[in-house]
Amino acid sequence: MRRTAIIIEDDLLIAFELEDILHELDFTVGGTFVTENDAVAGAFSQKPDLLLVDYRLAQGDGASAVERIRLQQAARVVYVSASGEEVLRREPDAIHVDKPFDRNRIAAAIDRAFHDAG
Amino acid sequence: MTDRSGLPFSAPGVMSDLIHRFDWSATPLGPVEGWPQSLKATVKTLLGSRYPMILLWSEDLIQIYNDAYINLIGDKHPYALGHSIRDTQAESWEVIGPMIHEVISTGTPNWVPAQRLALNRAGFTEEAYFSLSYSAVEDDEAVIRGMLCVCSEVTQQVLGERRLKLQRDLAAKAGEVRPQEKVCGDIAAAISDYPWDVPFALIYLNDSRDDAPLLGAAIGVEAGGEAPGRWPLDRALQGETIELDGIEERLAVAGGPFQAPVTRALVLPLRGAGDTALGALVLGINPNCAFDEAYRSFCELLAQQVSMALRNARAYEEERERADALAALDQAKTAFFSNVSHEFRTPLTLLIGPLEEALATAKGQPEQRKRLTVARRNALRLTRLVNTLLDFSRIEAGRARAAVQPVNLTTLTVDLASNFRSAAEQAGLTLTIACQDLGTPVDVDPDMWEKIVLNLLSNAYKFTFTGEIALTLNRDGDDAVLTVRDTGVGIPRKELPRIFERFHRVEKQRGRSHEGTGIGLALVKELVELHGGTIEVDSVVDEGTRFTIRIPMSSRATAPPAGPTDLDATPTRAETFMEEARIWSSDRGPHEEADADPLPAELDGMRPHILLADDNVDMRAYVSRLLRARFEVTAVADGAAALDVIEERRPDLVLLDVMMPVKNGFEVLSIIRSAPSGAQLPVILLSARAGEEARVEGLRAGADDYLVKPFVSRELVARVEGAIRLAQQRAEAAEREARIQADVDLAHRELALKDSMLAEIHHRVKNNLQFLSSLIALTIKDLADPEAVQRLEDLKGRVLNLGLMHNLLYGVGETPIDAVAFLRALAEESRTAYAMAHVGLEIAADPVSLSADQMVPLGLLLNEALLNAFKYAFDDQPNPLIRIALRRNSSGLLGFSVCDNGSGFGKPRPGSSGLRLMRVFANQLGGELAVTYDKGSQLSIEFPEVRR
Repeated sequence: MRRTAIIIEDDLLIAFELEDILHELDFTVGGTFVTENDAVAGAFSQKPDLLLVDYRLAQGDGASAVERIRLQQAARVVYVSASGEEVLRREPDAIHVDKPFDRNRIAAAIDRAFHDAG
Repeated sequence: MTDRSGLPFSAPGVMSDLIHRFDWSATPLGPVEGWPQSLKATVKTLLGSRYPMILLWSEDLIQIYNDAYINLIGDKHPYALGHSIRDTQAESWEVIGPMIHEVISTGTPNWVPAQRLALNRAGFTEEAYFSLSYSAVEDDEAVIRGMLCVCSEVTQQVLGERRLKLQRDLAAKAGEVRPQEKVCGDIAAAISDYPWDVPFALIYLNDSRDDAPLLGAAIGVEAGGEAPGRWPLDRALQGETIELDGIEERLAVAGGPFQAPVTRALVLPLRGAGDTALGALVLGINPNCAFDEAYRSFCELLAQQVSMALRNARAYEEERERADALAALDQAKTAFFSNVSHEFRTPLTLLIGPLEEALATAKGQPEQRKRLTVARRNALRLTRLVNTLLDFSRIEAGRARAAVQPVNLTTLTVDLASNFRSAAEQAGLTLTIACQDLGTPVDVDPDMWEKIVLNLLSNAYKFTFTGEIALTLNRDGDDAVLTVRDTGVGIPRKELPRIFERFHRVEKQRGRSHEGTGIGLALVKELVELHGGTIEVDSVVDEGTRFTIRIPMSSRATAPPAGPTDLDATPTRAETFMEEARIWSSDRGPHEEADADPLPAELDGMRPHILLADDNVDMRAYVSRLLRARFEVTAVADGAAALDVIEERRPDLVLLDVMMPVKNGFEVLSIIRSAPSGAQLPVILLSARAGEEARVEGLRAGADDYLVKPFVSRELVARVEGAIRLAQQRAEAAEREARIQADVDLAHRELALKDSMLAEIHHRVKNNLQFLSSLIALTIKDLADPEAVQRLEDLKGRVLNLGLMHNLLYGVGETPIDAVAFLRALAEESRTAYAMAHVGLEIAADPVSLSADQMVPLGLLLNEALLNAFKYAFDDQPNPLIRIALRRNSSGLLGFSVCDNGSGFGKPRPGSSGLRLMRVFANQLGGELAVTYDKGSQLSIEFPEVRR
């Protein structure tokens, strides 16, 4: 079965590119969410296998979204942000890809997320 | 009038005169005196007849006809007399020639029925029909010399039949019951098949409001240009039929078989029931037809039929409105039903939770436990009933969908049925389970299937006192077939058709229990149908009953996509069925409750403060009691009070009931979250509203969690602790931040501010670079030209590289920069970014530090060189290698070079943008770029070190 991912990113242009990359990697993209609250609700209804998460969001932040999502369900997370320091301070073991990113790094990070989480 | 006594043709009339006067000697017939007797006799007969007749004589087919015939040939009379028909009917000779020849040469008569002819006998071109009879005429020697044609008019019959046919067509339409628009369309379609009889028609419908009648249909004219004011519709609405002449002046329509202008129209009333005015019908009159009594009554009949069709349509619409009103009522009922069911959930929580607690603490008090167990079981039973009702209201509201997934139906069914084994044994019944391996998974919604199986077994059990209950599962073609058979009391024949009706209960039925809602079987039927399946029942009183369910193995194309459904919200608990079954079966009493799980361990010695807002006093007391052991609880009755408490003394967590007076849970949550201090405050919503949507709505509003009533104590405590732990972690992290912040002494504060500004700028730069990079990536998608794609890919590479350089520079934080480390990091990053890990890197450098002004162009130069080498150099090279060198030479200049060991294709193309860029960067550094090529390419530059 195809794996599902959701994108938590408030810049839609960047989200478009992430979506393309996810499609290339054979993911079904369940949606893009631009706020923390929407992301939490979205993750709950989609039950995705993977979350691609930006740190800064239109409301709330990516790390808080992930924390709240993890109250409900297990989640594989790859952060894609220009805020590596903040992310790692909040979640020292986080898998993080810096912006500007390239496809190879995203693909490698996703592989890691699936490998780490089993 | 000539006196013709003594002449051969004595009949009075125009043609007699003409024939007498005609100079026959100039024709092949010669003078009349010399005509054969048979010719004279035929002419005499002809002139004496009122049927139109014509005689053709001699090989030249000379025409002689009578008065009645004149009308049939129009302006060819009088020339036709004495002339050959070959001349006068030259235009139709191809058709009539062979026929005439046939009759004359063989003597066999011929016949053309209902031939349409344009007749001018009443001052207008008239559509007329004649049946034509052709027969040979012999001379005195019995030799065929000519042909006589006798015409008999059948215009009235033809028109009558045609009009009748239109009326039949209309009648066929009028009988059906359809919406008014459709009726108008159908009438228009029927009428437009008869353009000769109805050159145009307009149907105007009386609006229920007082406005002018509206055009319902237009046939034969453009609908748009029809202003109702043209027609005396008011008079028609009063019941009058109006004949209008000279209408060609206001409406140019051609009609009839000869397409003459339509000059006359009839405006007729359309009458509804009780002679009310439905509207008016305007009919154009065929200009090629006499507007006689028959035509007029045809029009009136037409109007009656249109009226009837419209009456039926109105009746249909009224019927439909009634149906809509009923549907709305039904929907309201369903909504009410659903709400009431929800309302049950709160009291149920208050029943089950405390009962479980009490059971857990009633060890060693068997009597007490027994009573409590009865109470708990009944509460579970009530939950099941409420859930069933909820399922129903969802199905009613059309919100239930089968979330089908491939399931091993055999295993699932055996597991479910096995639940009943001990209850059956206790009751002395045999439970036989015979489930065949179906060979392939079946698309079912497991929750729904569970409800189907458990309801049927529970039903069988309820009505069976001795013998057996047998469940089978088999495959039949593409269907999975489940049967549940019992040897119970059976269902009377007259009850069978109603057995699946909701709330229908078989009267005076003996069962293990008189309790029941009468909806179990109805629910089963609905659930089976949601799977595209069927259910049947057969039963014999005192022998038993068998239910047979048939569902398709693979869900049909019409099945909705799998997804979470509302029915998830009412999980069936096999235990609720079992509990009920056991109490029906046994006077030994239900089995003892297992001890409740111990509550989770206390939080590390702290007593967090929890604010609970719920308007139900029992609920407040219950939840408070549950939490009081390890939390400090403040309970309030509404949202406004909750906000007051938060203001006074911030709690560690807020539990909010959704439905509260003054301010509901969502409103309170939104106020909490809108304050800066409330963003991190954990909030859990409590609601009786189950289901995916409600939960999603809650989370979207910013709740940390969402708990559905009824919940059990352990669940509540676990959720509360989870949320508090998370908040504590967050708070600790924030505190660490704050401590770090506080550690910075005043002297450093300015620097810290600058740092944070730098960090912000750094973040923005990277984000903007990302934006640019994504923009390029999306642009590439739309490009077909490979060269353009390549150019943009290169550009994207440069943007990425800028990002890398930016990161490195930001990380270094101060200048001068260690150039060696910088170049190494950049080269390695770049190699990763381009997926070129197999390319070896050798970096040889003297210790050099550069200012950012020089480091940036040098980095960009390196990037271009690497990009070029990655792309072109290593096609056939098994051990690709790039050497980078930065050396200080004897003249004090810095020498920088990048070489590859490739096939030589790495040599930059002259004029390429890459090469141009490299030259620009070289100039910025104050040097000249040199490109050499020898078993690979080498890019080098010497430049002065600028010191600040």
